[in-house]
Amino acid sequence: MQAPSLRREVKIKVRNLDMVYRGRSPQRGDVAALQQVNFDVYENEIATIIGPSGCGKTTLLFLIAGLLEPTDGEILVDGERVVGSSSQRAVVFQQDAVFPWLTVFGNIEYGLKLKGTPFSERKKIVSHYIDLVGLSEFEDAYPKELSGGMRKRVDIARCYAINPAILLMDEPFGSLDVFTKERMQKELLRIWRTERKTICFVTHDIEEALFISQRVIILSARPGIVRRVIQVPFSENRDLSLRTTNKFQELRRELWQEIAVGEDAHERVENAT
Amino acid sequence: MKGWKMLRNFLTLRKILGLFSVVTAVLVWYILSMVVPPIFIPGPEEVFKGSYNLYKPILAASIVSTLLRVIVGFLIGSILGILVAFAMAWNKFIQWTLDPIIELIRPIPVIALIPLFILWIGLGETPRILIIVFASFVVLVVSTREAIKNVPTVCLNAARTLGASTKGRVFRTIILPAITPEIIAGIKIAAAASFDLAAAAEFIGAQRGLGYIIINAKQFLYTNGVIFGIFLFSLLAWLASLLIRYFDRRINVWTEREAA
Amino acid sequence: MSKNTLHKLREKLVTLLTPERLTNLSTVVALVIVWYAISTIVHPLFLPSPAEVFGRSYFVYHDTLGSDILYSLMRIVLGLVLGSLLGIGLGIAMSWSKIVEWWFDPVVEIVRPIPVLALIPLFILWFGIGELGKILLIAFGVFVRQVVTTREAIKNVPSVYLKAAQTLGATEKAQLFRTVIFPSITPEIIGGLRVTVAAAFGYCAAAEFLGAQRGIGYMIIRARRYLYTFAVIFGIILFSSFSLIADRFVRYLDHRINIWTEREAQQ
Repeated sequence: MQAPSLRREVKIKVRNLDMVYRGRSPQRGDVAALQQVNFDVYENEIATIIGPSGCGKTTLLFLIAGLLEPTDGEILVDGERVVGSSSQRAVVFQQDAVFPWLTVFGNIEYGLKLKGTPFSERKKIVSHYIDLVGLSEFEDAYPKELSGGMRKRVDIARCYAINPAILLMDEPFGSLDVFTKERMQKELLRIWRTERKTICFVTHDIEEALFISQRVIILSARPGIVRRVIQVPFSENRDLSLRTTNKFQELRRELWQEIAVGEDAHERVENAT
Repeated sequence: MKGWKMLRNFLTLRKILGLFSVVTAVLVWYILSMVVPPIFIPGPEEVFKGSYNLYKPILAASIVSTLLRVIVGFLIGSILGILVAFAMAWNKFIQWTLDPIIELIRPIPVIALIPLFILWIGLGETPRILIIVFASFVVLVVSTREAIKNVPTVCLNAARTLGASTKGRVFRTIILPAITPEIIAGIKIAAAASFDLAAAAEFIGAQRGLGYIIINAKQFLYTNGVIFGIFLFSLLAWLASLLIRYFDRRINVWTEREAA
Repeated sequence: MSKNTLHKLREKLVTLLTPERLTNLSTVVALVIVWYAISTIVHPLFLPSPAEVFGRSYFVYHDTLGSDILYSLMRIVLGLVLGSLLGIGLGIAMSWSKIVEWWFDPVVEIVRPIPVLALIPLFILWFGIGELGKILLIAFGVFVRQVVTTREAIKNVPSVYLKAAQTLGATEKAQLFRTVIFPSITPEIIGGLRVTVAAAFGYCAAAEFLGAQRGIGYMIIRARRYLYTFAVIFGIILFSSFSLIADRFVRYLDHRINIWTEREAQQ
């Protein structure tokens, strides 16, 4: 895999990241969730973090977002250290986080309202993103009237609207059915092609990772370390038929091996102690 | 050394603040009682020591009397309520006839029925116990009915496909266990209401019981006794709620509860 | 009438008279009939006829009826407002600040099991049989309930909403409370309000039984002494009717304010 062109800026730098959960009692020792994690994410690319369950990928994402504090090491976004959560690092969560008491419009303008953006400007921005995610007729609808996929789109629009430096997504399509999931993956790519953003995506679905991202960062089982970083060679225009190509399946097998080996190694280590 | 460590772990800031809070409240009580005439705020000592000495001979009997009313009324009312709710779930016709009656009865403040019951039955024990029966009944009927309605249909369907063919089987094996948490919730409410009503009922013309002590003390302007009686009432109600919570945990081990 | 309007009328009637409402209506009618029937056989001391209950009560009490109703309702409303404001306020304060919570927690836990009605004699000793005592009693009962309900409701706010708000820019506690917690707990608070309102009627009735110079409860107690069963029943019907109206009102508020909540088909 070719290294990316050096013209591109590094948006996210993760350096020597350690995350240790302190044991709650003398019997339960400290749990190392992440160990010496190092990687870069380039500007305007979709990077996926993937690994076996429990490897700490959500923890890693939350650390980048600033929802958690690392035990050691640092994360830099645009050259600045990440301290605490901020609207510069918006997150789309796995659960349904769309506010049920606000309409679609209300949800998308939420972050803008907090920032103090005047109404006329808010309206413009919100309308733009409602159209971008394809929910133009549902501006005044409440989340309870929308399907799961539609709510996710509201969530994405909501995050886009505040123009964050990076967008973080924690298995956002995990709770959707297979068809909606694939549609949402396509949607995400379309939105991303229209308005570029640096996206950090967490999933355990290998095919999803290969389909949507330019880069895949593979985490090992706990304690999570970066096993490998793979550059995904497909062009940006991808459609669902990509999944059936040989190249895709080859990569999928590679990744599968990588992750499975990691899991086995982890199990052997665990059984040995 | 080990004891010291245990003590340190135990004494979190939370507990210390809590302790301080209680101590402060008692201190405030003391101070107030010295400043304000005893008819309003008697000191803690007079309340407990004085009342105890005064009421010692009848204390046990009073507590028993009140408890008996509460327990008898509560048990009869609750069991009747649960049974009626079951009957309504079992038979659609019963449901159709009883539903509107229950909806009609619900808004009645049960307290307001005391004078009516006394008019009907006289000033004995019965109207008092009847009030408690009535209140417990209404609470349990409504909550049990709701609970049965809320049993997830998927569980019922699963049971049927697993061989629970007769209504009785489904009832016994699925509905009963599924509604237990909500029934216990109803029981908590009914128990609290029972104590409330016992107090009110005893105020209106009882000759025995904690409520009698309270109302009697009030007539003699013996605030000590009033507070003492309220304290004992609250103690009983608190113990009852502990008991119910204990059973709640034993019976409902399976319910998913967020870390409280 | 033309065929069209007849048809429309029939349609409206059909939608209005759902089978549920029909059974409710028929039961009420049946009950009234049974009432009439029993009242003719039984001594009016036990069950006066509906005519007597409404007619005679009005005849005997008509001059004080208006003020009695007004005073009872006023006490309940004031007690509810005072108790709810303080209760919800403390509930929010306890969820806002850990210090406040740790300080007031034992107080709340100690006060919770006190049967509110048991306090009536104490309040009479302290405040006499005037308005203040009753309003304070109702307020107290409402207060304790609301603190508990509010705390529970705030604890139950899904944490993902709070996390999402934080990553959208709500970094201060005030923002989180204002934009997430308050809207999120409104259904639960209003739901709890229904129960509290019903309880408030009970508190008021009891307080009026034990010491009042005005009010529906006072009327009932007086009537009992004269063995005026009809008035006792009338008073109960008054209390129940207002309680029902209040309950429907809260339900209406619930529907209007909480249009966004997902609700299973109710009723």
